[in-house]
Amino acid sequence: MKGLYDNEMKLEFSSKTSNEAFARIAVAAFVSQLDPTIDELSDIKTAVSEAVTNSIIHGYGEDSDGIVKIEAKIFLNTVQIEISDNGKGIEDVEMAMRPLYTSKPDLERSGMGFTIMESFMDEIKVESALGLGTKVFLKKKITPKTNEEELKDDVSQNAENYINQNIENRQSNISEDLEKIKNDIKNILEA
Amino acid sequence: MSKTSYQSTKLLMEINGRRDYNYYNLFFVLIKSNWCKNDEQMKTTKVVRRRKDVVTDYEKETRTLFLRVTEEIDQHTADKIRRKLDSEIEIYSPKKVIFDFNGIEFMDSSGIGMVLGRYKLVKMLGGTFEIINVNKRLKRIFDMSGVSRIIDIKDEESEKNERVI
Repeated sequence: MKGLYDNEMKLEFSSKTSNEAFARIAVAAFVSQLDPTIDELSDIKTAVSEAVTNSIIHGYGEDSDGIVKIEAKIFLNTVQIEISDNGKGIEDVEMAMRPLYTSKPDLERSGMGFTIMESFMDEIKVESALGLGTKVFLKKKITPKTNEEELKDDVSQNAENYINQNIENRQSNISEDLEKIKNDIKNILEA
Repeated sequence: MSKTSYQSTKLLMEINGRRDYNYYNLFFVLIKSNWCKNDEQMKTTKVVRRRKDVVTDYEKETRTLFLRVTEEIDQHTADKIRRKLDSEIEIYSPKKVIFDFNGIEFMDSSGIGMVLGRYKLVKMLGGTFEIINVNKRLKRIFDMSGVSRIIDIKDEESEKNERVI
């Protein structure tokens, strides 16, 4: 399968809630090479966090021996993220994806996980088998930089270079002037 | 401090012939402690508690409790924050609770459950609940889940959607 994607990564970690921040930040860091906007990156982080939380809390329950896997792939401007676990699986995927449905209301879960994933990503696919585990596919297209934005970057860089050069020139001028003045003073003193 | 000691400090000040700052400070402390004993003044005092992840600020006069969380909210942190906020709310049973979201860059659906849970608790104790300084990314989550239809949300001024790098 090598060569099909522009870039890919794999991540495995134990099913502890303390790993949630690590997982979403790692994925965000991987995606950031596509130069996304803050909103796009935040959407991806939230969606990944939801999927990972589901795996840890619902897939493995309180069992912290489980392993959560994340695979992320980049193809052109599209990110594809696959979050899988070997937990207990979902009995009825359609019902689980319904807004406000939660199997653990005692944990103050709101039942919005899948809804948030659906609306924050472009595409979502859930595969699950009872006793085997669950796989969530997420896909999002990152808007490429427009010509204007690239031009802006170029212009600002050029401006910076210009200013830096000017400063250097002036500094060298000043040091030359200083030396001249020193020489003048020496001459006057000698005279 | 007894009356005699106050007189002796006054005497010492006179003997020195100038304002002796050490005794002057002592005198000031004396006045301050009396002032604090006044009931009306006591009501305006603030109680501020700073913890690693939660900052609370209680105003006795208006019975208002300010809550501020200083880290990202996910399932892991929501559990800890929930316990801390609940204990604060139960201690003061405030009339008004203001939840400040300033500086929170990330929140997922566990935040919704946390906010709704605190809202229920405050309402049960007879208070009002308000959320302020929500940035537009968090606002979207609140709107989607219908929280903004129940709770007053005042959002931050819109910021630019710039490239990360």
